[in-house]
Amino acid sequence: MSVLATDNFNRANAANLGANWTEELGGWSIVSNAAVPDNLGGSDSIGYWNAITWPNDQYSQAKITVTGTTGNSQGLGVTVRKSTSTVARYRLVADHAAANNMELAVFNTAYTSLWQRTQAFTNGDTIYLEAQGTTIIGKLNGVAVGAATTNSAIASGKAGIGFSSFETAAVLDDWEGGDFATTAKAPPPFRRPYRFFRHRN
Amino acid sequence: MVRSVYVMPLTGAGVKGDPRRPKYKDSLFPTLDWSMYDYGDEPQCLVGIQDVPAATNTALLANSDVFAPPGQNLDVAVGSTSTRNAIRTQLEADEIPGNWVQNTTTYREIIRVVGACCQFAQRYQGLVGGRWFSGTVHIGNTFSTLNQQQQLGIRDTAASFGFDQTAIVGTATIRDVLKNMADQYIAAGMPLDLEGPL
Repeated sequence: MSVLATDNFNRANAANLGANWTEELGGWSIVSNAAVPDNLGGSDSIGYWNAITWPNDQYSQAKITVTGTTGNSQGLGVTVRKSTSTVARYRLVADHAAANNMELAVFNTAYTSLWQRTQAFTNGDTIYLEAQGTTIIGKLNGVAVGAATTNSAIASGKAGIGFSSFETAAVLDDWEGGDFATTAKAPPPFRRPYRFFRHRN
Repeated sequence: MVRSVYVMPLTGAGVKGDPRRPKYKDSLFPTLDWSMYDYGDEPQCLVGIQDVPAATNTALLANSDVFAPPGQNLDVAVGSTSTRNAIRTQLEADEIPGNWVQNTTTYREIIRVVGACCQFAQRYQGLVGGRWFSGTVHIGNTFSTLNQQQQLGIRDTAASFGFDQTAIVGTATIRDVLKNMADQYIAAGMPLDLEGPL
């Protein structure tokens, strides 16, 4: 895995996330060195990192804090393969509902729920979503949340963050996106070439 | 964890508060862990559910629009001709290729073809969108009865998977085209994970 982009949101309060982010629907703000959806209790928010060309196989992760207990499709989380021209994307969100508190969904011609799981989490945990080929995997603190699922709807796009509305408090921090390219094997440490000395007799 | 699979209708308008989801999710398995393959924009889906209580399984199977392997045994063959015919009828009523099913076909083979058809339909949804089967067009109609955009979309979908397109001809039935696409998906070893491998 390679980290391609990060944002700890440590900067002055602002009405948007900055030039590296494209925001859609409700948008986001910087509040107390974290990302906060603009329209808490209202509309969804999308944000994707626009500063690089994303490979098709990508992951997105962030630390989330959210207070809601509604579950099903409510919560805060991350997205992968977000289209730059439509709202198409895969989104994984979580809240504190007693059941079905994590949802993976695909947004394409419509909003389709792909799975729901019951997975308790603590505020500040890291939520993670990856898409490799047609395999979609969600994790919490590095541990897979249930089995992988297959979905072929979206093949490319950009990594980012997502909010599913009606949560009245939600804070996202320490976002990271990347790919699965293997880094080139490091060359061996530099060695000074052997020198051949002529022996003087 | 024990996974059970079902083919059932899909419900929901696909909007906030009413996502597309398995028809019986809210009423029969509201708190279980589940995953779904939607059949593109068609109103059917393949669902995997973890640790289904016996009463829930019974309630699901009581619905005539739900299909599941008997006893969730995927590796048993269909067996009798009457069972084979019932499966064919049910899948085809859902606009999923079913007439290929034989007495010796296993339920795993059936579920994998359904899953592969869903993957193909999802990619079509992502590239073009819209339903194939509405009004007078059904799975037994010829490919040429689809409109030009749909025909091109299916070819583009096949191309996006790298599939051979020689089976996509106007005189072929939509059933045979979709079955051929599903067969190529499976033959290529592409993933079919739904609460575990299918």
